[in-house]
Amino acid sequence: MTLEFLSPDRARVQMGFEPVARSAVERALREAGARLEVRDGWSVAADFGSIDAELRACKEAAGIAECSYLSKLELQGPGDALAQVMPAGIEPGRSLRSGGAWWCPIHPERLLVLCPASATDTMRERLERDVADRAGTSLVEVTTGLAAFTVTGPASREILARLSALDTRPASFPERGFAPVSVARIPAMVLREGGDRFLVLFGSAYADYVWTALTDAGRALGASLVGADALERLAEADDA
Amino acid sequence: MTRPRLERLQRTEPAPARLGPQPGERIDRATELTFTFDGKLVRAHPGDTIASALFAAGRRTFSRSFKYHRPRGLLCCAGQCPNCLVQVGDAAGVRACTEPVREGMEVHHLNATPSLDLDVMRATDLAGGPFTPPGFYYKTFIRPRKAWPLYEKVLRSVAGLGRIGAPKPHRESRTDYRRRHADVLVVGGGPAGLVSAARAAELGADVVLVDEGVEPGGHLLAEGRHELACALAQRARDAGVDLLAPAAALGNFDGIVPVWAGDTLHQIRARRQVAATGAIEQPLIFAGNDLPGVMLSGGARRLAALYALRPGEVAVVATCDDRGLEAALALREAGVRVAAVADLRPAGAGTAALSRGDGSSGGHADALRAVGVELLHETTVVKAEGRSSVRAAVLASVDPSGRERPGTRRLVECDLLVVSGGEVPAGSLLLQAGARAVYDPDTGRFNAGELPEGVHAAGAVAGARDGVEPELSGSAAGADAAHALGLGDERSRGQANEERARLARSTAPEAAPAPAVVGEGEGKCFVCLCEDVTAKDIAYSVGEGFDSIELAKRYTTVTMGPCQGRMCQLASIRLMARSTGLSLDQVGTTTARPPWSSVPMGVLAGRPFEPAKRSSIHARHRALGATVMWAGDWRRAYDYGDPEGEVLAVHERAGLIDVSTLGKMILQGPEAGAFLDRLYPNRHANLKVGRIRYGVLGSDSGRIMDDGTICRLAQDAFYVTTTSSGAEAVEGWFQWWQTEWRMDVRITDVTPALAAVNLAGPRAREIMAALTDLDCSNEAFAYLDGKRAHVAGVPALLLRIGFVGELGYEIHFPAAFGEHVWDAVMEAGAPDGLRPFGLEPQRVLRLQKMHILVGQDTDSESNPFDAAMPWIVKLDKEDDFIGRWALEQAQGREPVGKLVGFTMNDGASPNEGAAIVVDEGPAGRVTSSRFSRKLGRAIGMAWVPPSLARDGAAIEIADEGRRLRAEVTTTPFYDPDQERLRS
Repeated sequence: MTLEFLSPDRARVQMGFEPVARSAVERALREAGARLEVRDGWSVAADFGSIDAELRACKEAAGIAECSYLSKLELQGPGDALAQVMPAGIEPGRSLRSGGAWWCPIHPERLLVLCPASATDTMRERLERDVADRAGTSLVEVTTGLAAFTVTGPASREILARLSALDTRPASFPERGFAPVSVARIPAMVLREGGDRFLVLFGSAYADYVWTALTDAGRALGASLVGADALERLAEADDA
Repeated sequence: MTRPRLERLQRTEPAPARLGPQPGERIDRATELTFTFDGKLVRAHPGDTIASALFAAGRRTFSRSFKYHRPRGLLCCAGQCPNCLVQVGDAAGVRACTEPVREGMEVHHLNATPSLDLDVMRATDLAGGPFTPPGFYYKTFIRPRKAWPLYEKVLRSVAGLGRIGAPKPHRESRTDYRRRHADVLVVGGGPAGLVSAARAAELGADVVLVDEGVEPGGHLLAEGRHELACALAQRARDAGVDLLAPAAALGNFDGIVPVWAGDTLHQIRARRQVAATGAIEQPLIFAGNDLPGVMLSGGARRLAALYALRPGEVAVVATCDDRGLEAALALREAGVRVAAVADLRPAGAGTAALSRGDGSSGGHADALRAVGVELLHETTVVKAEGRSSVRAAVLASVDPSGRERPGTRRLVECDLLVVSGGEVPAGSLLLQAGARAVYDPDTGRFNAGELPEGVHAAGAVAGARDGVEPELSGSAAGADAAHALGLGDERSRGQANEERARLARSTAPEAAPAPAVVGEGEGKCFVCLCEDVTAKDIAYSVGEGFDSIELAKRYTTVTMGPCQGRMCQLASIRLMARSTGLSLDQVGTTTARPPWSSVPMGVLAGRPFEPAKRSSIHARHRALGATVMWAGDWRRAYDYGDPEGEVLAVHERAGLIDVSTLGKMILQGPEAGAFLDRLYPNRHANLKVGRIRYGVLGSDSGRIMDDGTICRLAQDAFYVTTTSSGAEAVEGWFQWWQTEWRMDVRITDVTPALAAVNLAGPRAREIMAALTDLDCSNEAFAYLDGKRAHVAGVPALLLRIGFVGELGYEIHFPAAFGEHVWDAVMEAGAPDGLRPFGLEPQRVLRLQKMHILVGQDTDSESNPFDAAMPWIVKLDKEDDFIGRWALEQAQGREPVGKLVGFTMNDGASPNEGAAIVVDEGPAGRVTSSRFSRKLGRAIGMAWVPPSLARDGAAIEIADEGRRLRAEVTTTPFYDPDQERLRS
């Protein structure tokens, strides 16, 4: 595989080394009391002491979670070729949830696919096959290039309003909405996963800076840090 | 001039300022709180403002004026004028009349020494007049010239209002930006704004209403119509209007309206805007018009209605429309004895039916006469008598042109002089939005003309003032805004049409234009209270040639103070017209600019955001004691405390540097090689898979833009690195040309996705062997090879290149393993003496190899020929490439300068930027300079004349008064044959 060096899931135990992929803000997570667990090769903040308290925070104000462990694959190519690769129903500014992944159109010739780290290999192989069959298309894994933070809860729109000019009113940015925007004065993309849950994606070199800006804005509005387990429960509740 | 007739009024003991309960009063009498003013305890009720509490406590002087230090009292009580500015804690320039009291707050006066009641700087008023004309500090204080520093020090110490706290390492107060999108933004919470917002929301719009006051209602609150204000506000809330108050709209920036509310600056983007900003009552210009006790009619009424305060015991009212008459009636009801009302209008004015809705008939004039108040027509106030506050008002009859009729003066004793000089539309936001100010000769006002698309006006700012007009106007504007968004139906459109028709039938209230000034020569007549500009000053500036309103504004600073022209723009225009002989229309207005309201700088600054990129290894550098510095957008390790030792470690053992900041791109597609051939002056399409080539990126004028390496990963895939600072520009450049060429190639920026470290030094190979099972022998992994392998278990791309001049491996790998790989390499290299090295040692190392730094050793004029890299340009390439034509021209042309290396003869290192001198003239510059401990001498690079660009040539460097001698070299200082790199 030509671009294997971009894929964190290709790390392996070798010569006594046991590599673990880590978020750029892991130190801040640890200092905030995160319980870290290695999941699918990533060190993940599973919780911050009490999942129930985290769920309550998400219901009453807002929860902020680190989700950079999500896999991100970028497809490029002519719009008609990409249309054959991606599921039907994707339209400009709107993502689609299909096959356990989010399909997010950056613009007509670029598509970002987000999936759980556990599903990376399967998704990547599928997309590589699709790309190989279609001239003019290509795939690059950008998992570690994009950091990802989730903001969820009734105060999430207010928190984002402190950092971004994105119009998050449901009429303007409904569920599944996906938009390239500026967040805390840097280029980013925002996905409205559902209700008041937003996934913010941006260049991972800014992770420390954005985490500081986001948690600072969130704290002032009553937000709490939440772990992956609480997020999972919320997603399950949404699915139910 | 005849001596005015004195009408003495029988005085009684001063009544307590606090009145009995008033309908709609804002204070909570059941509760008391305290604060301090100049260290003295003041009692107040919740709901009081600082000013109302101080007034209740007996204070009448609230500030000292900016220039003359004259005592100033409450004037508008609405946050419009500068008369009550105080310091609250560290915050200077707080308007006491609108700032609610808080328990324990510390309030201080401004601009007076030693005290507010006794200010020694008042001498500037009493004796400094001839010495303080407009621009006096440029005139009076210019001689002797050498004394200016002293003058400046004195002027600075007496100028300005308030104290700024000492700088602190961290901000003590938090300020935030908040972005709010809306369908409709309504600015102004008076009856027009409230109805407008409610109407738009009722038709389905998402509406935000902002109002400066602590509660919506506007003028209704001070006019005894509190219940109506509450009802309208409730209607708006019920309709779902998002009501922000107190919240001041500061301006209009291409549709974005910044609104200051508390510690937050709301940036409101609305598809439609409704300005319901009302009108601003104007003062009259007469001698002594700034004395404490002179109060606008609205201010006096607010004191009485909202804070249950008696503004004075005995009042004289001077007005030019019904406002003053209404105020006289209201004040009388509040227990103020109204000694006389001077109405500029002729007899018969003020008799229109009352609009109070209380069923009473007859006009205000009749009502006043009915209660025995003397009403004088064609009369105004020409002078306020008193030293520290109003003692009496001098009234005189004036003709229709505003000139005083001789022999008509009367002196009426009073302690409250209520003035009302008409009103001006608060149209600044409309003008900022793009409307033009248009003069209306019928009303003597400047109105906003044709409104720009997306902007509506309602209420007094649109000319609707009395009775139900504001509500009608607001309803029509709100409906129009909603209709423009596709909301509403035929019925709502019909209603809006009907409302507009009713408005069109209404007639303008009777008003007399206020005279430009009366009572001149008998004391200062202030046109601008903020900046202490008098009517005389305006005439003076015209006399000096500043005869346009914009010039006079800058010269006298009229309209430039905290009120931003609210109190003085129309008056200054009238005075300009009088002095120049032009009409008001010809004089025109000054340009409306933000901010419309005073706002703390900290609120404008918002929360400090300083976007910084950090590599995923950053924390390790910190832990190792690195000095961290900015390098473009990145925070980078400059050194680890011993730059020279770090250089030697690379030469003698091994060093490790974090180069994650390098720009990195993946190019994929069958035409990727051809694409690179079009962009770079050398060839890349013929690069073998697994090999690396250096590339210098040129502009279409052949100038060096950036440099880096290109590694061919596969037949149809390349890995391109750029400089750290050039990454975004190069990616943009690639994308720009791809958009033009539409080749079969895809470009992906993977800069943040990959961390990268450079392991360099003679022991690098042995260290690599402990980290990877890849054969790193020179035979298997040669110089300029690129290979993929796992390093410490992490998938990586290894580039064998050598920017620092020793055997080296750049390891590029997923950023999430940054610390893991760094730790692994450091641990593996520890037995070999591996040390981390930072940017500074890297700069020394690359200088020894004469590897250029784009942007430091080159500038926007440098091309590869002149920068000693002619070998990079392949003019024999078959196809065209960016900059080819320009480079063909440059090849045959004698350059202005050439980039060379130099060795200092006397050991001294010149500063970068020092001049190369030929025949005592500048002929080049030093671009890089360092002392090399490895070489034992100071070396550098410089642009020199072509004649000196040869080995052994002597050059002279002028550097901060020193003359230094150096010798030119054209080959690398260190390992010129690349033996160590290739070893």
